Amino acid sequence: MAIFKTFLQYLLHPGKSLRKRTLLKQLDDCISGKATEKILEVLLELMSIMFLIDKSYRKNIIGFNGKYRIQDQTGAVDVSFQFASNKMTWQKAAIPNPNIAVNFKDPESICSFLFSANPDILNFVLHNKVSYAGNLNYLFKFAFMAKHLQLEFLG
Amino acid sequence: MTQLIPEIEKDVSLQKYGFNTCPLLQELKTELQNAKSEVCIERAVLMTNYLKAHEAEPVAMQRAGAVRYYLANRKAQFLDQSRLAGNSTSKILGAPVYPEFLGLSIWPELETISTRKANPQQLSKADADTLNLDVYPYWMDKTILEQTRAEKNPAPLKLMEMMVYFLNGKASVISHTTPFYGDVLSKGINGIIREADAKIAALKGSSANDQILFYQSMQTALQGIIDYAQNLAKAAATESEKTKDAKQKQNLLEIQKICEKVPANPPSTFREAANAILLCHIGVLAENANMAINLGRLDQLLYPFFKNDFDKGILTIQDALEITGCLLLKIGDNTNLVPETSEQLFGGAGSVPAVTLGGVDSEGADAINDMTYLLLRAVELLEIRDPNVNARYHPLNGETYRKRVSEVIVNTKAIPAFYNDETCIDTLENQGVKTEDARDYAIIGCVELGSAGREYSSSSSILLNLTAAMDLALYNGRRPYITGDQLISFPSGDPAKFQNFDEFKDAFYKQLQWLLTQAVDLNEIFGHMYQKYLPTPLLSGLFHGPMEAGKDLIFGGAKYNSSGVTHIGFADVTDSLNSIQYVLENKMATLGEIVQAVQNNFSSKTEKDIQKKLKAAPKYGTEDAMAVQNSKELVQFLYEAYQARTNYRGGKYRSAFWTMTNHAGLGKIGWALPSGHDANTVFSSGITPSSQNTESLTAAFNAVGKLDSRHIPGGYALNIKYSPLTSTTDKDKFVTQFSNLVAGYFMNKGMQVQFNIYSYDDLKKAKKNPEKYPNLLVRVSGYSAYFKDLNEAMQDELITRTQYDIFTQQAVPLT
Repeated sequence: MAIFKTFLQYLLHPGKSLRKRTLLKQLDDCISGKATEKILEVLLELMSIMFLIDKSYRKNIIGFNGKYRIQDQTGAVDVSFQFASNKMTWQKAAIPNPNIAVNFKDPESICSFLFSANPDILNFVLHNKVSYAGNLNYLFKFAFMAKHLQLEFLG
Repeated sequence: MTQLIPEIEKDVSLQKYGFNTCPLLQELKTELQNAKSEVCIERAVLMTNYLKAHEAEPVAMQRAGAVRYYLANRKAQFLDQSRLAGNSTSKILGAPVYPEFLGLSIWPELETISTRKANPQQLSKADADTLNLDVYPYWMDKTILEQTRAEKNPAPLKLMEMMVYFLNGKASVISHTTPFYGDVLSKGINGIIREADAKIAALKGSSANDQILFYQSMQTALQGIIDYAQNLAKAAATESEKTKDAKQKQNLLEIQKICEKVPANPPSTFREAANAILLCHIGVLAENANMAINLGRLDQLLYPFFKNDFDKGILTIQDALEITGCLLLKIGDNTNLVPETSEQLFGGAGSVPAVTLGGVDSEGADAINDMTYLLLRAVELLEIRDPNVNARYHPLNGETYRKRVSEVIVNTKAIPAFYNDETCIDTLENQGVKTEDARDYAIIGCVELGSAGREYSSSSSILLNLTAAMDLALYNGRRPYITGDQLISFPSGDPAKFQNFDEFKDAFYKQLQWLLTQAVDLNEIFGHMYQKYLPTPLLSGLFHGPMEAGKDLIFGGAKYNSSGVTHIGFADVTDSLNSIQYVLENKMATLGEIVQAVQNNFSSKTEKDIQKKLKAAPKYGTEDAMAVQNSKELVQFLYEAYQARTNYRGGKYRSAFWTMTNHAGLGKIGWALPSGHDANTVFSSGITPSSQNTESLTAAFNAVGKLDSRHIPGGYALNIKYSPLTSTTDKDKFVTQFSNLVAGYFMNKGMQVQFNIYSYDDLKKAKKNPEKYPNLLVRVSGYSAYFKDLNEAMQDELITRTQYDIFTQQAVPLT
């Protein structure tokens, strides 16, 4: 039934596939240093689509509840997102009581953290590129999900 | 000395026995060293499954039940042809996942950890999926760090998580202790369980429910080790039927019998005793993270069994050597699982289980025996990173032993480390350890001291960066190159306005006191969280004290308790004090000028001139009175500051100076110092004088010997590098000189020393061509490591360490 539902969603939303391709291009651009301030928005959009069309990827959020806020010190990025009811939603505004709030030095640091060869938060802390409040394990999980997309689509 | 058997008496080096007579050891060593480290998820999966189903149980029983469930249900397998049964993980070289500690920190790396640059760990996609979807989600809010944050959110945690002030070991582990396996060898685990039965019976009808629960949890956890042994016995029986290799068939049939008997029951033979110790060690790792869980004094534990079997004619020296080698290899079959950046700070570490040899016994008599020499031969043959082998030396041990240890160090170029019994015992006695217990000390992890099986030391509770306190004093409570104008501690005054060195020194010590208070306060909070969530019933069953006290180790059940604090940058900070004092007293620059030059990393010509003046000051590692005074003052200050604090288990805090590879990692991200130290360069290791600062080896030894070891109860690492032998060197003279220098240093009250016997060029070549030196063994600052596994900063630190000519005792110029 679940497979059928997914397939149906895919058929009903042929634009998703095209949108995915566009987002992947944008993500690649962000990682390459272009329009890095859009990195989170592009990534979250892409994640939303992948949760919808990729059952295996969707397993990451089954039963998962978590609230995130990610900002940067330049003010270019301020995005919050939430996982609940096996779905992800996001907004360009603060969210109350996030499990983890992360403040990166700049958009490049966000890119670098999420898509470095090994997205290791300690490295960023050591080099003073990030501060955070809350439960680090939530960030670890998010970093894994982002990294997975990069590996799957961008190599 | 115990009378040696004639053959060992005749040749303590046992040169007749080697890989030619023990080919199995060569085979096992090659297998282990060629094995790629693999992430082992077995424990994480089984423990998590158990805990998911038993959340309502009291924590002590929940933890004990999970440990037993894992041990009873893990796969009993034989990964090689070792004569001992049991593996700490399901891999030949495994990195177990401990999700309750920092196991989740590799979550972002699950799909890349196998290929990462720094010490990759193999992880299959299936196992990565299991961790991602089944294991880690359960632990997201339950790791000790996150529970501490959620319930206490202590202010110093923020400081710790900046990574550059101090690190609290408890975020990742307590471990760091030496269990007592003597009871297992004399009465078996069943005997310990029966003792707990008697305690429970005596408490029946009383209101001591916590004590009863403690004894029951101890029994449950210990039963897990027996379950594992029984499963190994069954698997050995099954495998023996399958194998066509007659030798292995016989081996498996013997293993079957051994595991049916031990460690449930007391061993009768040498091989049974060795296997019982191994199985208990594996059991301890099931409950406690694999970091510095030590074996203690193996020569003392195993000797009665060796002697008995040898006298009966059922054990040969060759046999004993083979079994001893198998035990050492099995102990070294696991490594740490850490995220890539931790490799920057702690790179190249294994799990650092320490083995201690030699010294005196509880009565103060020479404790050298046949097993001491057998173990030394095994260490010499195997040349492996783990276990971390340490040789105690007491004058009663005699020259033959001292020379033999020296010879093994020369042959392996790195191991074992040497400890001065007289100084170490005195230091422990000064901590309130009874004389007979102090004499029975064993090394913990890198270099820490603890009465074996009696002292729950948590010796790596805090790693404190002394250079951070220096920065805070220089910049009035701030660290501008890291956090700009943000006030980190408190304003201790603008150094530019200080009138003299004493005013600066006062500011430095106030900042240091503030910093260590933060670290200790946080350790206390962590300690209480461990009491709430992570009791250690299994380890408590293998220790002196908890049975009598009816208390888990984490609640202070051990006979002795302490917490260790080690320090990074001792020489750099001492030299900074020396330099400021020297320049100010000689009116060569003002403090304001010094601070500005340091803040600018000596960039202008004027600042470079100031740097030259600062560097011209007397250095720690010489016998200059001012340098000696500043080093002694710093040691004494730290000692008194920590001794004033009592930990959550009722023990004192103990200061120490060993740095693993932190001095390299923190130095690389650290800033310039008043010693003239450039920004982004490595700090000095352990208690070792800064590299290239001390021309004379004798002066370096004397400078360290002058530090009162009673004020360093946590232990220290002194790293000395000697030029290796050349084709024209008389090896016997070299070894004799080596041995005599150690004796001289110990006469001057030196506590510990460890060596690397490499030239600058040897290590440069190894850095350039790592593939040609895959197993080049070095002493870091405490533990041993393979040079190729170390990060570049640490490799450079090892290369530039002062190299001394052993005969002239002068530094060899670094080219």
